[in-house]
Amino acid sequence: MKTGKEYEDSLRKLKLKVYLFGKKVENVVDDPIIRPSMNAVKLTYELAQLPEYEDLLTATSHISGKKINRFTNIHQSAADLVKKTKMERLLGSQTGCCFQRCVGMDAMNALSITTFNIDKKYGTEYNKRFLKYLSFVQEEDLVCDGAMTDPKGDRNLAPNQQADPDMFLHVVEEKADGIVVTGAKAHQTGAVNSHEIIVMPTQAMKEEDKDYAISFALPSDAEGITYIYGRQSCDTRKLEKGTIDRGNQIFGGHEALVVFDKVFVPWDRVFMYKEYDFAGELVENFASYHRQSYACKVGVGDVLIGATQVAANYNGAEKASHVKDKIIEMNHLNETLFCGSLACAGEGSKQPSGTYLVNILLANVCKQNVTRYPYEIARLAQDIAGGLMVTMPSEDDLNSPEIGQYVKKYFRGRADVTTENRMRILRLIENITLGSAAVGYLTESMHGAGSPQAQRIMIARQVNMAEKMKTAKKLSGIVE
Amino acid sequence: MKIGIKFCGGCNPLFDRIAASRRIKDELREKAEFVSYDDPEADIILVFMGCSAACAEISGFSMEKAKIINSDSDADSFIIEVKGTAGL
Repeated sequence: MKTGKEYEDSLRKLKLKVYLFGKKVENVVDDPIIRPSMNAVKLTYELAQLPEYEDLLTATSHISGKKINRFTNIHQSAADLVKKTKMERLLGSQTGCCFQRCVGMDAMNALSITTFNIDKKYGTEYNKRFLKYLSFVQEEDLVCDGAMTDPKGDRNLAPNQQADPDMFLHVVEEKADGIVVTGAKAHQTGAVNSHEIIVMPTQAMKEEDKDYAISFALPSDAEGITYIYGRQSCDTRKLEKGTIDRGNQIFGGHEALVVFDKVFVPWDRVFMYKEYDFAGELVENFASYHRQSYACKVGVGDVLIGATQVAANYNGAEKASHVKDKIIEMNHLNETLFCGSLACAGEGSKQPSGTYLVNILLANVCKQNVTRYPYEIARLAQDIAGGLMVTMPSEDDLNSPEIGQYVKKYFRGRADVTTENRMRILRLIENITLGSAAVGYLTESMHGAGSPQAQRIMIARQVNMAEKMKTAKKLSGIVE
Repeated sequence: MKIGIKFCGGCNPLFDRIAASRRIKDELREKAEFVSYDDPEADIILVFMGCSAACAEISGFSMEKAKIINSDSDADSFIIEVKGTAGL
């Protein structure tokens, strides 16, 4: 396994083409806007080296028998799935943000299932290729970006009907030694902190869309790939001299548009090629794993609830009964999210490939709650924090020789708490509820791993309504 | 005496496992050598479980050697037990 330093050093060797604010980024690792997100991924390496956390951050490879980082593990039991949930909560609570590494893990687990099933039907060798690739990822302890979401263009039209055929990533040329692909993947979490990009189709496909039913993996700095970094609320605070106004002093997340402009993929890196009847299964399994992965928001919720309590204490308001009750409600909602992720993990089942898959119904219920509860938790945090969170002056004002005295005097809460500390905790609440970390805590909770309607469709598909009606009729004495 | 240390992953601990392990190490510094939980020569393996789920992976070692530390008072009791055994 790599150490955090080895991971950081490995990123410096990559020749990524990254654009931010219209300019090519020459030093991605140390760029002040990008650095916090790298710190978050780096923590997944650092904690794996510590005895206090290795039980969650490491697993035993079912291929090599060696100890590996759990983010490269293929789940071999329901217990593995439960540990994944707990690991994600832990990392959320240690970073207070999106730590980005889960998507690749979820992609690899989904591919471990689907490549096996494709081979069984068509006699192909995708699973063998995938396991060889997986061995490489485990041995080198790599970060993989799981890239599913296409830009999609006109949502009324199928991929092959789009005015611009590149609205969904697709094969444009087939060669003896591989394929050439063009398109893009949007909203890619952690893309510029990744060693590898694993591409999957974004939806079920029909035969006329078979050029879009492709899955493959490439080094993140492969020729023809360009990253366009996404803006975040309050992002340029990271460029300021001071650090208080950032809220989270160390960590952050990021997303990027990943453009593939006639990119070559060798055959040994292709895991699905036009087997369109399996696109839907790959999407559904990836989505289910990734919906479980939102246990991370429970960890971020832990940070937000802790910050809210500190803010209440600093205000001298912690004994008020409504404040206590709001904190209880925040905890209730947060632990309910944990319940959902644990439930779909605990009810996981073994697939023909040997991989354990989460319970799909419960994973979708879990994620449906994640699209709602962080918003309410954030609302309660803002309620308790008070309006000062969004009106207070800057760190420069706090430190100003002319007017700093007024800031310190008038924004003090309890007499035994410094104004600086009060401002710091309010900035953290701001960061999570409407600053750069709100990207991960709120809007990503809404749309990541599928928008709310996607889960409602899956819930409707997965429940056994016939059985429920039969039970109701029996108990009510209906005979038909 | 060799004491091995194993932790659960600490996703949501109800007590500070790390502080408790440090306190045990400080108090028993002169009575025991602290080793990794997979050291075959460990006489006792302290398993710090952050909550009642007690989910740390312990299948790899003998339960005869394992002692579960589930709270600060468990940690205190262990310290007293070892000091008493050591003749203090």
